[in-house]
Amino acid sequence: MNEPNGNGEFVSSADFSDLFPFYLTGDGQGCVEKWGPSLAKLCPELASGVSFSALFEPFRPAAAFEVETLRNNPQDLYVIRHRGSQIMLRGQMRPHATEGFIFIGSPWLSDPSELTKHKLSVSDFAIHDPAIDLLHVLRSQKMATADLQRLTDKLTTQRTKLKEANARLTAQEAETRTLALIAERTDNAVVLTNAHGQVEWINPGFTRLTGYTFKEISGKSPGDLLQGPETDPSKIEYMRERIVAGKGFRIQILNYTKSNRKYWVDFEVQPIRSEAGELQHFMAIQTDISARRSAEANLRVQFRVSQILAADTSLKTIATPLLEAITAELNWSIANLWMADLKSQVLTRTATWGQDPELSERFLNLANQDQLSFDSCLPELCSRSQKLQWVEDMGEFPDCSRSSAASHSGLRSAVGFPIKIGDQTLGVVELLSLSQEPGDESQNQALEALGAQIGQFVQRTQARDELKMRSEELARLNSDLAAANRTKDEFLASISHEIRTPLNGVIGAAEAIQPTALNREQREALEIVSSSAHHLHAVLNDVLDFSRIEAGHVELLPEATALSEFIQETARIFTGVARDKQLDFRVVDQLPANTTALIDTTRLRQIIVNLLGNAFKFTHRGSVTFLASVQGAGKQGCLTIEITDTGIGIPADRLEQLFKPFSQLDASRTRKYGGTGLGLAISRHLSTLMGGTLDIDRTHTPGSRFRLQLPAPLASLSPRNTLPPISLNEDAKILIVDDNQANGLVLKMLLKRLGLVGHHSFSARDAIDYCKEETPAIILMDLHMPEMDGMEATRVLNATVLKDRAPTVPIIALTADVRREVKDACFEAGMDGFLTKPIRLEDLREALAKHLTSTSTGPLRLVPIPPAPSAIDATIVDNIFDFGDDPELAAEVREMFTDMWADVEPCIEEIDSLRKAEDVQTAQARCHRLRGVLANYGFSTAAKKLGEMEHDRETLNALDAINTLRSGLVAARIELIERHHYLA
Amino acid sequence: MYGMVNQAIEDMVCEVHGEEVWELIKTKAEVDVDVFISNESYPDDYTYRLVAAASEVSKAPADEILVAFGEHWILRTASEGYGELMHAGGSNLKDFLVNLPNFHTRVVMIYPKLQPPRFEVTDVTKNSLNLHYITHRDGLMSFVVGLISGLGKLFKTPATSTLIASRANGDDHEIFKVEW
Repeated sequence: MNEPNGNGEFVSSADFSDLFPFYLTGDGQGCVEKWGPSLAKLCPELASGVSFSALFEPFRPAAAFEVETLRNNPQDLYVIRHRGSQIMLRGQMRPHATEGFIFIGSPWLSDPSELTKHKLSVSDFAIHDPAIDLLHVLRSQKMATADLQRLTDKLTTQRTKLKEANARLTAQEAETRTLALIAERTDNAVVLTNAHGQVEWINPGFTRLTGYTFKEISGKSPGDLLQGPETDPSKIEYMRERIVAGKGFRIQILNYTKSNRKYWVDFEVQPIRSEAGELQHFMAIQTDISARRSAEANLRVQFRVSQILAADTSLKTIATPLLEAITAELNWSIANLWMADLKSQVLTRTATWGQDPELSERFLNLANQDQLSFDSCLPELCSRSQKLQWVEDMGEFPDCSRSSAASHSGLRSAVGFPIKIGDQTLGVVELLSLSQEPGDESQNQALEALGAQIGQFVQRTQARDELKMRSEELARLNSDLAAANRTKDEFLASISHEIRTPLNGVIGAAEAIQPTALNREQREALEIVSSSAHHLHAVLNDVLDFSRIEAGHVELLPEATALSEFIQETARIFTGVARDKQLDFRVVDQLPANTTALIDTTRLRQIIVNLLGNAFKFTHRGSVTFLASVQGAGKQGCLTIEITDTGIGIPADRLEQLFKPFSQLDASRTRKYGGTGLGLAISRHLSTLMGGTLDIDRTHTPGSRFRLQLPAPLASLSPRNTLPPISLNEDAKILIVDDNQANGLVLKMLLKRLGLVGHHSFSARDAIDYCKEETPAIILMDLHMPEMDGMEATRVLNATVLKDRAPTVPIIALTADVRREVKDACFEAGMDGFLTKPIRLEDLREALAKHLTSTSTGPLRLVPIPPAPSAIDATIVDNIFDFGDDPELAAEVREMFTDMWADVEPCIEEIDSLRKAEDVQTAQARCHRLRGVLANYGFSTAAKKLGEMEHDRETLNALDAINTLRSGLVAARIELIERHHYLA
Repeated sequence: MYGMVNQAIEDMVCEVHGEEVWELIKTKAEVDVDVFISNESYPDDYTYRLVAAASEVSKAPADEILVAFGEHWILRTASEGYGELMHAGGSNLKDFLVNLPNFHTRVVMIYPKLQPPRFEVTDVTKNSLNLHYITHRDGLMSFVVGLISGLGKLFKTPATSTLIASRANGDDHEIFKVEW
């Protein structure tokens, strides 16, 4: 619209709208007339005639719109609010036209977002309108606020990081202080170098260890100063390579201090890199391990030396390896072993070892001394002082003849230590070195210990050699002793046979002569011969027995034994003696009923016979008591035998000698009572052998009491004498091979007691000839025979005539020789069994039962056989010997028998002559007479035989009649001896 | 150069390479500024050094950095900073560019310390105009190119700019022909 102004200038409507796009005019009634284009955008409901108040509300001033007020307050700043959009407009009011008003203003925006909200853009505003600028300023403030916030956030973050960094820094500082303190105080050397290995920093420990100050080493490589001639070049090269490669390493190396002292160091190097990985430094920590290495070397050398000394040999043999070990482990160049001759006081070089053989040879040649005496050289010093000696420089060692040689060889330090046993120096070990070394206390101690070790080795080898020598001598002595014992045993066996045989002959001859017609003088002489022979026989038996016991050749043969029966049997031997001496003989059997024990009855009887014999010998009035009891049970059983007498007793001061051999209590007793002096010694030995004891009761008086205690396992085994009887076929014969007639006769009698028939061959040749024709069931072979002995005969028989016989013929050895080697030889010769003389019936029966199984004519028939008939009438004999306490009657009876024996043999000879002369009648008459005599004496078997011969011609003329008669008499005499101890 | 421009570099570098790289760039550029205040004035040299450092670190040419930087400035920094005012500057690319001179005039008045360039728009057609870039600064043509490219993306009107006059060629100022 063209509105003229007061000056008549015009602004076009378009320009006006452009200049004031948010203008509005209203009329006098307050209705809208015109408006600007941008206001229309804000207020789409604008229309002419619309009430201004309806569209806008006053904000400031707050009074309701009045046109008059609007026209007449040009000085007021009006802020109006569009009711629809709530947008604020700010501007001025002026009167317009006659009654109307005009608003000139623009939106008041508190935030650029309102532009978008109200769909306004910059172009909606007049270019001059500062509203947009205001928005810019507002925006700018926001941006500034945002910047401030960012800054604050950054500061906060930085503050936090700073705090953390401070904390880390504080910690690092503390750590650094600690590390600095450690670095300061540690004895280890700490070095910091640059990336090329040149020193940048050292700790005080480095200076203490090496002697170098920081000033002296700064900028240099540590190795330039610390390495020396003996530092391993390969290790130096290794370190260099690692440094160049920027890598860490750990190594042990020999270094030198500033004062040229050698030391071993454990050296650990680590690279230090920046955060970006760039190598910046090397850090090295060095620990002085010289002492440790020295200790390790000392231990190693002690171990090696111990191993070498463990060899069971001589010092001479191990000297070289010993010296080699010492030099190698302790790093010496040469070692010499000097051995001392204590008499001549000279030290002699015994062994040498050098790490460099040329050096040691040069030195020895220069020294030219293998012996040292009256010289104050190192070995001599050690030897005299008996202590380790250290020489720092041999070249300057005064008064030593080898100092020049050492010096010329380049040898400097030396040490010598003694080899000692107690206070005695055996030698010296001398060590020499090319370098000058100060004394090393720990090595000195190790060397002194080695010296003691070697000394002990020498002592041990000396003792071993001496022991060996003594052992050899002992072995030689033992061998000689064994040979002597064998000789003795063979002699004894031989002499036993050689003495027994003639002795048996003397006894037999005396007995043969006894029945003959002798005058009193002859009879007395014969008695002497007979008793002397018997005594000699007893002495021989005792001596041989004692000798066998002492040599350990007695073998015990325990057997199940009915003890009560044994006690009674043994006691019966002395009933006659008791009667003769009119002594009360009491047998006290305290054994439980049916007690059986495992015991060697032969040896037990021997002991008891000895004790009872002594008791009866030394008792003249009173009693002898024989008591037997057992203690314990089962295998712990113990048999106790007590022999108590009321005799002469034993003086107290003689008790110690009682059991010693050949120690009769006094000479007068010996003369009076006789005896061999071995009985108690043998009995004691036997009791000990049997595991028991034999003692005298020292408290028992008057008289004596001997107590024998033996282990006697109580068994439930049946006694041996319940063996089943033996039976062979009627025609079976037992061949007896013995050159002695009496032995053969006895055996035949024993066999007859067993219901068997024996054939006697007097030589091995006869036996062989016999066996060609006959097959004996068993052969009883005496060992000792002239021409061919029993073993040889056995070999011949088994190889020839008996070779293919079936069943085989057992051969049993008969001998008094009980040595094991004899037994072994018999079995080796092919013999099947062994019987010891004198042969007992039970032994014979057991041997026969063992070896006889079947005969050629049929199997073994186990039939009970009647007990062998007694050769005497026990009632008559007992009556004759029942003379009680009457010694005169005993003497009469003895004389009576003596006379009877004297008559018997001549009668038998007469009968034999008469029958051979075919004077049957006279012969039978003589039989009749003799029969009566013998019957009166109780010799029933012989009397019976005579009766048969008296009444039967054929029986009289039978070939074996006389022998049978004589056998009966022998059997009777044996029974008489057993029953009444006749001839004791 | 005011801080918002350097902020744009920081934002762009942090977004693409991370904060550590930005710190590295700042160190390299020897620009020891923790936070660029948007409306604060900083020596132009900072911007040049930062661009150079960014070029070195990212191994990209400086011009390339500036173009990317210009786009980033429009699409992120300025848009976030000015917000609706950017959009209020024009409803389309053409209008915005036409209003650009006034926009800069207002900025000059609000921030007297700043020395913004002067823009003039001539030869406005339906699909092109000539944008005159009058500045005392050198070496930021690529930045302007980036700005224009960014504006085109902001208004979803892809635009190209061609330097049709430059001081290097003896002209008074740089003239970009913007076409869309």
